[in-house]
Amino acid sequence: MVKMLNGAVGFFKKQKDPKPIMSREEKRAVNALKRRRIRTKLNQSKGLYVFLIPAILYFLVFCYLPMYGVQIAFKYYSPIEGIWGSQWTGMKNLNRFFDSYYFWRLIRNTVGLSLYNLIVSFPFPILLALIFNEVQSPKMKKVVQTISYAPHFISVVVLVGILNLFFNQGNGLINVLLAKMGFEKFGFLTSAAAFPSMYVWSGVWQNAGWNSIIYIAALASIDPQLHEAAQIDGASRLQRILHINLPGILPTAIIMFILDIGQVMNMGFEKVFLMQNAQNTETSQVISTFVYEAGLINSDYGFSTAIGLFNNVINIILLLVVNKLAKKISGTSLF
Amino acid sequence: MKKLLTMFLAAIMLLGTMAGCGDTASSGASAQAQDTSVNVSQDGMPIVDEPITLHGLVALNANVTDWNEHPALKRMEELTGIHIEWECVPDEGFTEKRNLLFASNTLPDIIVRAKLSPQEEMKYAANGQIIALDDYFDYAPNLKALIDSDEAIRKGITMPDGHVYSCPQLNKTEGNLIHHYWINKTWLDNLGLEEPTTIDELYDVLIAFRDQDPNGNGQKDEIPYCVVGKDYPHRMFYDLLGSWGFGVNGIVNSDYSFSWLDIDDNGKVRFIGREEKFKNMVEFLNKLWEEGLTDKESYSQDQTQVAAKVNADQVGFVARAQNTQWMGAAAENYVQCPVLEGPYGDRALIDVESNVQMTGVAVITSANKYPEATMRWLDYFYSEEGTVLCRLGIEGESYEVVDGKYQLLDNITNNPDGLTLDQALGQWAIYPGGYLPQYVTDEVDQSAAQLPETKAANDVVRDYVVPFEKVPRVKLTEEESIKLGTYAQDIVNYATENVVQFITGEKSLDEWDAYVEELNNMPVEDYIQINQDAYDRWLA
Repeated sequence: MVKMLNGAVGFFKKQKDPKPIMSREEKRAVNALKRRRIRTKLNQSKGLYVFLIPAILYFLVFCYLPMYGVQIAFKYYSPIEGIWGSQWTGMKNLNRFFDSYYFWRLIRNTVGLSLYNLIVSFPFPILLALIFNEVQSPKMKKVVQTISYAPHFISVVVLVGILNLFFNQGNGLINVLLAKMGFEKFGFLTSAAAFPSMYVWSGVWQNAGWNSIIYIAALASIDPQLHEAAQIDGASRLQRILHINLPGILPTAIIMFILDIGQVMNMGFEKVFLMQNAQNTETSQVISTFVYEAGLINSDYGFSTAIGLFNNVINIILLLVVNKLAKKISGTSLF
Repeated sequence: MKKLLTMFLAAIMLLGTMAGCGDTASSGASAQAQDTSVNVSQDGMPIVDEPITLHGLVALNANVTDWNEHPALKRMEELTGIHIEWECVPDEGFTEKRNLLFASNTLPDIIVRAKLSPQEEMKYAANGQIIALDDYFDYAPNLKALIDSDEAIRKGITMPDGHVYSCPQLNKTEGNLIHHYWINKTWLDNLGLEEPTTIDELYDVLIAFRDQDPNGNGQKDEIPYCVVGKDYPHRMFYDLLGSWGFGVNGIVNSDYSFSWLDIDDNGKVRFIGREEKFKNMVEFLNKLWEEGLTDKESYSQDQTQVAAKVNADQVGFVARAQNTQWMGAAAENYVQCPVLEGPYGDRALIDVESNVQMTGVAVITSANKYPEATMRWLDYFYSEEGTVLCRLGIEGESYEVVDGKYQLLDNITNNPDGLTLDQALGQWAIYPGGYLPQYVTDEVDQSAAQLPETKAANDVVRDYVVPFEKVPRVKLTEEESIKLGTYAQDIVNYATENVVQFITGEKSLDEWDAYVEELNNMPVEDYIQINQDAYDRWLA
C-alpha cells in the first residue's frame, strides 16, 4: 500500500516536469502512454480510491455545499423565505460591522492576541520535542511526554475554572504566595493588561505537549546515520541538535506555521468569552465575542455570517502571503 | 474476494456518512393528523371530544422529570384529552435548539418555557412562525378574565402591533417580585452598630466592618461590600440607583438586560450614564473601591463564589435575589438593609419586577393544526387549579389542603432521600425553574417567597418600593429592533466599560466630561427616542 501511495505521489510529481518539445505524433503517443499509465494506476489502486469517497463526500457535504449559504451575509435572513428567498441588503451587514464603534479595537485585539499567541506558543512544542528527543530512557520519555500532553484533554471550561482558582485576588494560590513573599496582591483575572498573557500562557501550558507530538514524529524519521556520522566527526549534542534535528523538522515547522497563520482571525470563542469580565473588555473584546453579543443573541444570522466571511477573507489572504513567502525563503510551502 | 470485501466495507462507510447528515428534526411539522375537524369546547373539560396529539418543545429544568412521563402532565392529558409528545431539551442547550428550529422552520406545535425575548417574539411573529393568541381568546377564559381585570397585564403582554403572541407568567406575590439588598446583622450586633439608613451611614458601617473584625477571627478577611458582577457588571450600582433618584419611575428594559435607561419625573426616557447625579454615585462607589471596601473580585465572580464567601462569614453587604435561599446556612446572618437615603434625599428600592413577570413563556406556532384546543390547554394553567397543578403538583402526592389552604406534604419539604425542595417537587410539579404559564398568588404559592424572613424583608422596604405597575414592559417593533441592533450594543458597552473604569479607578473622574462628550457623539439620542416611542406605546 505504501508503495502504491508512493507511486501515486511520484506520478503527480512527474506531471509537473517541464515538457520537452515534441512533434504532434510524438505528443499523441506520449499522451496515450500517459493515459494508459493513469488507467493502470487507477486500476491497481481501485480499493484505495473507494476509501477516498467518504472524505470527498465529507468535504462536499460539510464544506462546499454550505458555501451557498454565504450569500446571507448580504441578505436580511428570514427563515420563512429561506436562504434564496431572503431579501438582499447589499453591504449593510458588513457596513454595520465596519461602522461599529469598537471596530478597530476588535481588529486590534483579535489580531494582537492571535499573533501574541502564535509567536509564543509556536516555538514551545518544537523546544519540547527537541528535549524529549534527548531523553535517553524510553520509559522516562514516555512518562514525561504523557504528563506534558495530559492538560490538552482538559475542557476549556475546566481550564478557566482552574485559572480562576489559582489566580483569584482574594485567596488564589498565586496571590497568596505573592502576599507571603511581601508583594501586593494583583488582580490577574480583572486586569486588562494581564489578560493577553493569561490567555496565551495558559494555552502554552495546555497545548505545548500535545502539539509537540508531530515534531517528535518528525524527529523520529531523521536518518540515524546522520547522527552517527556527526558523532564520528566529533559533533557535540548541541551541535547535532542545531545542525541535524532542527533542519530535519524545519519543513514540518514551516507547514505548521502556515496553517496557524491561516487561523489568525479565528480567535477561539469559548476561552476568551469565559475569561472575559467587565474590567478586561479593553483587551478581551474580540471579534467572536462581539459577534456572539451582537449577532447570535438576537439570532441575526446575516450579520454573523458577514463577519465570518470577512474573517475568512482576511485569513485566506494571510495564508497565501505567508505561503508565498515561505516558498521563496525556504522552498517549503503548502502548495 | 478481498476486493469485494473492500468495496463492501467502503459502501458501508459511505452509508454511515450519509445517515449522519439525515434530517432528524422534521418530525414536528409534518407528522400531523390530517383531520382537523375536532370539536373544541369553550368551557368545561375535556377540551376536545376526541383525543388529539400535539408535538411540543420544552426547556427542561434539571430538577424536573421528563415531561412525557411527568404525573402533572399525565393529569393534564386525562383532563383535557390532548396528548402532547414532548421534546425535552435541557435548559443549557435550549436557546440554541429553539433558534435552530425557528431558523430552519421545522417547528413543533407548541413551545413551553420558550424563553423568548419580546424582540424575538416580534421577529418570529413577523415571520409568521408564531400565531397571535388574541384571535383565540374566546378559548382562553381564565387569561381573558385576568387581562380584562388588570390593565397592567394587558399592557404588559400586548405587542406594538396590538396582538398578543405569547403566554406570560403572571405574579401577584410581593415576595417573588422584590429584589433585596442584605446586610450582615450578626456583624452589626457584634460591633454594636445600628442598621444604616443613609448612604453616609452605610459608608461608616462598611468602614467599621473593614477595621473592627466583626467576624471575630482576628484576621482582616472581611469583605464589606460584595457584588455578583461576572455577567452583570451593572449589579455594582443597580440596587442603589434608587438612592440617587434613578429608576423611581421604572427602568426601561425591553430585553432583560440593563439598558441604562430610566424614566424621569416628566415621563421622559433618560440615559442614566451621563447624569450629574450618577457621576456623584460613581464617585461614591469609587471611594468604596479605593478604600478597599468593595470586593476586588466583584467583576469576575459569579453567585457560587459569592455564596462561598457568604458562608465563610466574610461578607458584610450584598445585593442579590428575592430571598436568602441562595446563601444556604449563612442566610440567618442577613437581614434586609433599610432602603438608603442618598445625598440628594432620594430614597427608593427600584429592583422590582412587573406583575407580568415574564413574557415569551409559551407560544403556539403556525405549524399547529389545533390552535383553539392548544390555547385552552395553556389557558388552564391560569386557573387556580391549573396553577396549583403547575406549582404544587398532585393532591395527596405532593400537597394537601388544610383548612382551605394549600400545603406541601412532608415528603416534599423534608424529603427522606435528602432531595432539595425543588428536586422533590420536580417529580410532581413542573414549576421549578419558572417560565411557565401561570398566575401566581399568595394563596397558591409555597415557594421561598412565603417564608417569614422574606416577608420580614418586604416589610422593611415596602414604603419605598417602586410600584409593580410602574415597571415598564416596553416592546419594540421589528424595524426598531433592527435599527437598535446596529448601535445599541455599542452604547451600552461603552457606558458600562467606562463606568467600570471610573469605579475601579482605572480612569480618573477628571475624565468624566470627556466620556460624556464621546458618549454624546454616539447615537444616544436615537437610542433614547426609540425607547421613548416604545414607552409611550406601553403607557397608552
